[in-house]
Amino acid sequence: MQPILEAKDIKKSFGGIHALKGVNFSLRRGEVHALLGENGAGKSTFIKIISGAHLPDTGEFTIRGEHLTNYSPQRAREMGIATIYQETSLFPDLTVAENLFAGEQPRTALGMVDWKTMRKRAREIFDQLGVYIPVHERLGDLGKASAQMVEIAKALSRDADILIMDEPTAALSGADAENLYGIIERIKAKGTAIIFISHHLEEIFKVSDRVTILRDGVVGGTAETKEVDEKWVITQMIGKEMDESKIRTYRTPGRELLQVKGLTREGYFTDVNFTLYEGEILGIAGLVGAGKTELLRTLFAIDGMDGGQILMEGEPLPRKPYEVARRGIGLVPENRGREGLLLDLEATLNLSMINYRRSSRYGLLNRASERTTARDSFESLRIKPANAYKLKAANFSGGNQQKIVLGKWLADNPKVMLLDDPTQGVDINAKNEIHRLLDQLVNQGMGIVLVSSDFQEIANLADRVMIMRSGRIDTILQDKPTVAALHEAVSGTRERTGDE
Amino acid sequence: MQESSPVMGFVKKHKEIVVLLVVLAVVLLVMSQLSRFFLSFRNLLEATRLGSEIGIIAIGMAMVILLGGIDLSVGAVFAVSAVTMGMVVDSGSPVVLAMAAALVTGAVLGSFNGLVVSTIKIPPIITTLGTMSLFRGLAMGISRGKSFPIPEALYDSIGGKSVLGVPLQFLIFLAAALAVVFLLRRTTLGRSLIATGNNPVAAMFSGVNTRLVTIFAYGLSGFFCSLAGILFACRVTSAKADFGIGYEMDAITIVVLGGASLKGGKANIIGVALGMLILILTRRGLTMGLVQPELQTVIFGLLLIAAVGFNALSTPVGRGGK
Repeated sequence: MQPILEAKDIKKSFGGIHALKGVNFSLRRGEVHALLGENGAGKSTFIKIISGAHLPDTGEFTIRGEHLTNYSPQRAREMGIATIYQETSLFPDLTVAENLFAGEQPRTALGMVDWKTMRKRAREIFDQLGVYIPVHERLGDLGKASAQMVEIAKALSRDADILIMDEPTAALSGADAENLYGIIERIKAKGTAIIFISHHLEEIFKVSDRVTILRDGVVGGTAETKEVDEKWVITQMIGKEMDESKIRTYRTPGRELLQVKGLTREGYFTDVNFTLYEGEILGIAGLVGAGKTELLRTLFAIDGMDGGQILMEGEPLPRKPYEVARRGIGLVPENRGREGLLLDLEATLNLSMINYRRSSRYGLLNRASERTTARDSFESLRIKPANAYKLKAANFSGGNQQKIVLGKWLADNPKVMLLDDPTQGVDINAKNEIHRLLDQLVNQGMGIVLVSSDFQEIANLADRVMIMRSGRIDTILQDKPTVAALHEAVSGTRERTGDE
Repeated sequence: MQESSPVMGFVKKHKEIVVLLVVLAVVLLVMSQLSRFFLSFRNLLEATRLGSEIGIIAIGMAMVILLGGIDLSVGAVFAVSAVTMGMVVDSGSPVVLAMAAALVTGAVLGSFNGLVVSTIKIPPIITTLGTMSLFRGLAMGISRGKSFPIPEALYDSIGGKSVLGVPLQFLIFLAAALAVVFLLRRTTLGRSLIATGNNPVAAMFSGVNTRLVTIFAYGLSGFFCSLAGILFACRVTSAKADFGIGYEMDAITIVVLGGASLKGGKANIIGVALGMLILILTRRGLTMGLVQPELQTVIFGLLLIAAVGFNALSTPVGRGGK
């Protein structure tokens, strides 16, 4: 049977970085084809090429046998391709029906919006899908799951027969996810082809017919789902034999720094317990939406808590960020541009953004110490361009911005660092440098909580790893777990909690 | 002819200030054509006496605008402070005590704005629109519409005083400007203000007590309003609840002319000083040139839009971070 979509030897690079190094992929009519890979493996680039957002550098790309030239998002829509992203592109203040027909509302003879027909047709579409969605409700009043259904319905109402679903269940509860699987079954039976991206191995085995794994911009393997097992998938994902060489030196943890008991923030995480010791890196791994970032935000008192206790060196931690900072706890936040940097101000000022209070006397800034701090940070973190003390933070590259955020905390010698994906968007050299630095700091007695979506990073650095799942600590892996162990623990076929 | 490069360098680096200086020169030129008495040194100096009162308010406004806020209650705080001083003096208490009472009142009312903005998180424009009316009512209530006399002696020693020919008001304005420059450049509090103004989220994530900083900025604005109110009362030798109506617009005009962005993150005190001079000299010149007040208002409007428009056009779009 001829595939509905076929890609041959697709290559794409961005400014010298090869995101895709020759990807072959085919999609059959009426199949669910799962696409897997670690972060940075090239999944999103590939999806963007299919949906017309990027053009491939080289390679052949056909849809229904038609060779595609002049490809664009517009053309992709005409070819029947629809992408359903994690964050929906819907209008929360409009009703479901209005969302469904946004921009192409049925009209009456007088040219007014024909509300009756619109609602009727909306109902018909959902009936076909076999779900009940109140079409007159404001979308924002419905849950995430309903928004997802509306997004799917919208795509189908526009005659899309190739659906791309980017982690569609990441934000859904167990029951809603089951519901979605049902819908996928139904639309698949009508001949619609689906590219299904997910990190949950369990659901991939449940819904997909075939599976393709991307690794470092190439296809690690393609197979009929029922002919392979989890182990095969993980091996394809992380490469043959894992490089287990760790940067980390041997460490003995010291006294207790941070103790977290029964910490709960409703809707985000529940009953989190752990202790962070001097001289260790405690990793936190989990899927998107597991509550990792939210946990760090509550630890740093950005967000509140609904129950539990946080102790720093045996004493209750105050509940204001500036008090937490004063107690020697630092946070490298998730979003460096929004939360980490004063983009319009110079590097020196950003680097002294934590330490300016401690280095001051009688409320007066110690500008000599600020200059020294900046010099030391540029040197020890190898911030580039070198000596660009007066350059605005906005004008540094992503990796160097990240170093500035890290550097501003290190200048204050914190006892505990909370790191939220500290090397995201950082090139490999800078990443290695940051890793070495973290190792060094921990050997000097710092305690680090490391949240990362990069399992290799956690495996390289962490002494212990907490696995978070739907806001709960699922397990704590002791003794420096490997990448494979992390994959298994995070996406394994264990029952998803919170389903009932 | 080729300009020497250090001059061009200065022009490039301080473009906004250069623009203001050019505007100021144009104002002087045009006004001197309207009235031949305008360009006397004495006249120009005397103009700064009035302008400095608004200028002092504008300095406080600049701190609030640095945080991305706005303070519409300045004219009302100005009036409450003047009335407070008048009433305390009237009760027979020493003048120094009266002034202290006025300053404290201004700082407290201003801090109240900051407290509401930072704690209840009502947008500054709404909060201060409310307190503008609230504080004005307060001034009327405590004075019962009465005008309180301020002793003539205070006119001689403050209101009409000049030091070496320079109006005392202008000297106080300069001192306030220098104090704020020092605050911003040399103190931790000033650093916290700049950080919060640039990116309140990142400031909070960096352990800045952004709430306290906000209360401080509004409190400072209130304090400067009462300082201006005292000077005004000493000049006109009375204190009345309807003082300072419309001053918020003058103060905002000055700060915006001076190159601040209402989005926050920028404070330009030299710009405030030049903005104040442009505003007050234009107003005085037009009055001396017997231009009708209605037309004056039109000219001010155009001036403001022109100046801000120039800055907007010369700033590249999509400046990051916000």
